Amino acid sequence: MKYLLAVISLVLLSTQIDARNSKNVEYISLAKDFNNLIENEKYKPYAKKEKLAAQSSVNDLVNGKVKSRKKELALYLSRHKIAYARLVAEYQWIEAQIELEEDKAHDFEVSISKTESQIARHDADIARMMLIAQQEEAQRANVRAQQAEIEMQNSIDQQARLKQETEAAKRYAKAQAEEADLAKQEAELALEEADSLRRKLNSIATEQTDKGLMMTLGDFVFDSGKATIKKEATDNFSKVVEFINSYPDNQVRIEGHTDSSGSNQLNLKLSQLRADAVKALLIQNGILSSQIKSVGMGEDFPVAENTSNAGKAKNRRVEIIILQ
Amino acid sequence: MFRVKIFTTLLLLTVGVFGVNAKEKKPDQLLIVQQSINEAYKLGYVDAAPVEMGFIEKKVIKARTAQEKRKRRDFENIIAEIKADLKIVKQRYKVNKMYNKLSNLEKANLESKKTLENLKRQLK
Repeated sequence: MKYLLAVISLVLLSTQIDARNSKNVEYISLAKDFNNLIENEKYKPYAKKEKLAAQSSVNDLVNGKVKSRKKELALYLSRHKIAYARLVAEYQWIEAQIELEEDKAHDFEVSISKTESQIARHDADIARMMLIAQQEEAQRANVRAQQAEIEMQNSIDQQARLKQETEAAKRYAKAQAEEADLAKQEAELALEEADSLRRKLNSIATEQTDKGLMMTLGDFVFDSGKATIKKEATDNFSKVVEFINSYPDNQVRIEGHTDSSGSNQLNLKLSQLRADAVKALLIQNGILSSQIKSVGMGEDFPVAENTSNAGKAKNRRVEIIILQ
Repeated sequence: MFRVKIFTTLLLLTVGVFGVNAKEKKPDQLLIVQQSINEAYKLGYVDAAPVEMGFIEKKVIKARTAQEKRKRRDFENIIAEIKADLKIVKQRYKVNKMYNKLSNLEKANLESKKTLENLKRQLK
């Protein structure tokens, strides 16, 4: 405000001076220059001392305090003082701007530092998460590998089991086939045996002896070493039954004989059991029990030498005798 | 009385002579100004105000001429102008220097701003 009043007075004073005076133009120019300086918002807070010096210089000049011979120099120096004040104001303004920029730089430094810290933490978090993810993936891969291994082992086991089962099935089938073959063979054998037995039984001849009419059953009728009659023989016993039935009024004596193998007592017992078995079969086929008598004769009445198998086979026999 | 007059006259002449001698012992303004100019060149002020320095050099020549012609008033005025010019040149040099400093700071801050923006983008 102080500056403004000074300038206004300066301008008014200047306008009052004779326009023809060339100095007036200089003063007006000086006043405008000074006015521009003090009115400049940018420079208002700065160079106060220099502005006062410039103002004093201008006032002295305008108020006629300067001797006429020194006016030219005073005018020059006044301009310089205004220019100097402007430069000082500019300098101080720049200083203020530098201070602001330095504050800004500091703020940037702090912000950058904070942000870098945040980034570092963020990167660390990401790295940690990636590590965890990698560990989890590794664990999953491990689990998958273990599962694959288990599945492979299971597959191998299953294949082995299948192979074993297949082989077992094959073996079973083979065994079944073999068994079937055997059964077939046995059946054939049995059939052959039965047929043979039937033929043998049908071919049994009767002969007249001192004891009476006699029919001899070979040891083929019995199971080996036993007193049980073979089933095939049982089924084909009709000729024997017919033979006995031909003589319904006669007593029938059934004698069991053995070879000389084993003890005499055992042979006696076995011959009795065989004779009893034949008797039981005859009774089963309708022959009266009272008509039949069974006797075990042991090894004492051989019909052939016991020195050969053929002889022994002949000696193992049951004789059915129709008593006279 | 005549003797007194003669004595007084001699005394005044003596004082006058000594007075002149004493005046001549004042520092050589031109030399001082020249030293200031040399220093301004040395410090690099000429870079801040080359035109002004040219004017100053011409004024120095004029001052020297005035001195040689014993035009004391002209000489003093020119010396005063040169001093004022040098003051302006020096201040301009200082202002320029401060401008450079401010400019560098502004550039650095601009770079810092870009750096900060890049860093913030990395965070997103």
